[in-house]
Amino acid sequence: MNDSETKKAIDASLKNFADKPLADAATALLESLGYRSQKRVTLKPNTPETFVATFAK
Amino acid sequence: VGFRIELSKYIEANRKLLEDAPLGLYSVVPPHPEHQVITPGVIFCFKQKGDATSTTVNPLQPYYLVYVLLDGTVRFTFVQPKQILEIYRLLCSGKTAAHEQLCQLSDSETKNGTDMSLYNKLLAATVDSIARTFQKRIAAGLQSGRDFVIPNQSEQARETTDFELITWLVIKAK
Repeated sequence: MNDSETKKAIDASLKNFADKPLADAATALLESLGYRSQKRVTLKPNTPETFVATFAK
Repeated sequence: VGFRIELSKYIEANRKLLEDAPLGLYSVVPPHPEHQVITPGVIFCFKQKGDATSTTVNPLQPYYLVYVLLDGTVRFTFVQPKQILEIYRLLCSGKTAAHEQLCQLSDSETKNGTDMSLYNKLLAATVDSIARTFQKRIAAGLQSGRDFVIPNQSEQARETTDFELITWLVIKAK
């Protein structure tokens, strides 16, 4: 992918934030920036409270 | 180490028997009178389907041992296999015959195996617990240091992960 295509991909990923779920849009943006990974932590329910309970120790 | 040697010897002596044993085989045993921690419930042994090999979260990957009580509370989870194997040994080692009275009681309670609703509930609670514990251990691992590596999503135990039921041990009061 050349610079122009990368910028287009980033642009499209940013626009996705308007109508895609935040997690999906953020993952897609990171992928367009070249960060791809299958390593995830699933929070259930996926809320700020769960995040704090899980990581603020 | 003791467990490994003991299990290796058992496998060597009973290889054919174990290889021919069907999946889902189970037994019923009474709680141990001298160990208050062992109360009625079920010890499930599952195998995670797929190619999960990472042992960073589950030391026995792809196998999961879980001891769940009758009310669905998990007493020992898959990250405590030593405690569960210890209980298994206490309850089963050296026993060569089925506990007739308990088997009959179990048959009558499950209507000869046609009503497994209690065990289905415990199975569901156990799988749910496995998924929650797995994710909690990942989160804890991330905070434990820089060496921890999260297993790939396809290797993680989740609510949607497929498990095979290898065997289960019902601990039942008379």
